[in-house]
Amino acid sequence: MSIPRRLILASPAVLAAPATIRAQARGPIFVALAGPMTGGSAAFGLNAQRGTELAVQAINREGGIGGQPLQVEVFDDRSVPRDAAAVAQRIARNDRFLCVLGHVDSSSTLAAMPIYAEERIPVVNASSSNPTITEQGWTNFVRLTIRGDYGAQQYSAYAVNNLGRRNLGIVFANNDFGRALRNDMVRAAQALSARVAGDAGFTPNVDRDFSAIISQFRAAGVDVVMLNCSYTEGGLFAGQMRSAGWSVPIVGPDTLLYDQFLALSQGGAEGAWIMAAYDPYAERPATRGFMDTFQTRFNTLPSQVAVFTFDIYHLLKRVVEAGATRANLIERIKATRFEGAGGNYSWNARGDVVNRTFAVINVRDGRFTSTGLSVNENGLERLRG
Amino acid sequence: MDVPYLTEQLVNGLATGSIYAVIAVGYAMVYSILYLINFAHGDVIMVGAFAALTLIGMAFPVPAAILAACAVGALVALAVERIAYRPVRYANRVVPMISALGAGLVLATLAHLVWGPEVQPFPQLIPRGNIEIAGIAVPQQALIILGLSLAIVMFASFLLERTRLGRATKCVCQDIYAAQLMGIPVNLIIPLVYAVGGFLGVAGGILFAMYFNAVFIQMGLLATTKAWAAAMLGGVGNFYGAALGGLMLGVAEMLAVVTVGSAYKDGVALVIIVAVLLLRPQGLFGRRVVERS
Repeated sequence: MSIPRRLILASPAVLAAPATIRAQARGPIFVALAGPMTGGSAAFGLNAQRGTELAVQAINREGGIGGQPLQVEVFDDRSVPRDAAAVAQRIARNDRFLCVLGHVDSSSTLAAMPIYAEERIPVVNASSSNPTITEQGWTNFVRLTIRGDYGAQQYSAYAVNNLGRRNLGIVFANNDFGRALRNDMVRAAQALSARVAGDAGFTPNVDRDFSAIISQFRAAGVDVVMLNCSYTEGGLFAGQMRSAGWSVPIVGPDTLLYDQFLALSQGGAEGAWIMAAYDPYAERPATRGFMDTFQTRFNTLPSQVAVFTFDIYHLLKRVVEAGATRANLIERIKATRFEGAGGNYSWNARGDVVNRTFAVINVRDGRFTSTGLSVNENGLERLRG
Repeated sequence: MDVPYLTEQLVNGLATGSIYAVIAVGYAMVYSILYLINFAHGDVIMVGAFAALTLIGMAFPVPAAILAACAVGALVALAVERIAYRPVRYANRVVPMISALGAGLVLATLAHLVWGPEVQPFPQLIPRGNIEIAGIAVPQQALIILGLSLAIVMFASFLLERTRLGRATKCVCQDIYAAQLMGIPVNLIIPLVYAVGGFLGVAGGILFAMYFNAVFIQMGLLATTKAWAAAMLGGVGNFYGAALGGLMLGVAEMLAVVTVGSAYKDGVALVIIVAVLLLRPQGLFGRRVVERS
């Protein structure tokens, strides 16, 4: 079961069709897309594949990258770190890939990175936010999402300063993503003079019953629930809160920003606040274009993974057409300022995005709504040295 | 810690545990006859729960949809028995176990193809809110789940104790060859037991879906592991042991959340099971089973 499955995405016609004859003579540019395509987190992989499909179609329709068609091979890590390492080895054995686009969750990325680093394979990452990834000194890594520690500070500041809450109930997925957010949130709460009244982890993709946590939080006087998990568990948690007849504000990261969060909560997500690394409802032509195309093609809203994955291919097109090669790809990306569907990106030397702030999204009348609000950062200065 | 809080948590634990109990009972029925760890049981349940969701989505009346979904569970269980178990019934005990694992994987993959990888919301069929009992607010949904589960377990117990099918099952359980020689249609009884197990399992799976508001592919594996743990705790192959084991597993998980924290829920529950099995290898309510050669 641990054998990674390699799938060829969609039909070859979709991926490489309208390339010119000259381009075909030069052969395609290959990118390896790595993430969970099956298993409990397969929905994230599905979004990565959908973002890929739209980007590859658009790029190849316009003649590919520098005249070469773009072709993507999909690798399945099932969101299991052991499998992620095996996938990394398979990709490393093959030197035709310009770069790896992946992995999706932080635990898998952390497991695979040492192998890519050793083989000097560039990794462009959409959604792994664990802060330690860019603290390891890996020079072959760059990511589009905002670091989790910065995120945790912002979510906490929003709950305490903007919403005036003092008793945080922290729920976290017990993996690298959730634990890192939880630890930074406990630190941020201290800096903001708030109390951590509830602190509960759960096993992602296994635990679906949150009734005991909800009873515990209610008894402990929690007045705001901080959801540090994916939309699946987040939606179920919000729904079970409502079932239990308990209503306090919910604050969470953009992993919740997906219509499944609303569907699974069955009304329980109403009023929830989401701090998003991109604003899907921004009145920007690039964002609107992407959202509309995605909605038309797949009849659902894209998740963050889809948006960032889509942007990465266009980013690759930009830097490769400006002369980047596999050897200097990451260096060139770090030196680039890029405007995509998910907003503007620029990077620091470690490979983290800089100068990006969170968009505050609110669930109103069963829909995500852009509020235009910003986070009141009073008290966070203490955390920045 | 105060009494209302602990009562609320106890009801939570019992509700979850009663769902485990329903699933574990179907599991124990199969084990008691064939000594087969039916790894496909959870996936049969998952398919049934998805079937219920699809039928309700097609605007079938809810009771009809649930009954039909349970029937789907029975049919799938029959098919699994016919395709994956019967050909290897008399082989070494490891063989049907592997075959069961394979059947489970095939069902999970088929479900993935049909319904996709997303966790899907299950309609709220049970009114939410709290009921006050002796001044303590208790979640109404949990109580209804608990009541329904106990009713299902009692119905299964009636089937097993008071019907001809139940008596025949017990004979097959005691000695499959002797039962055959006495004219009991073994090739009818065994599939029937599977079908009943699948039917009840799906009923449990639908309760599960209603309580957690969701159906998902991995609920099969989850149900199998929880049912297995419950059955081990209660005494493998013991019908009432499995039911009580399920309730106790739910309460143990709840106690873990209350005492050491939710992140250690499964760990603590499993430590309790290991401790019980060290002291009583046959499980809390099990008899020592003499190994048949």
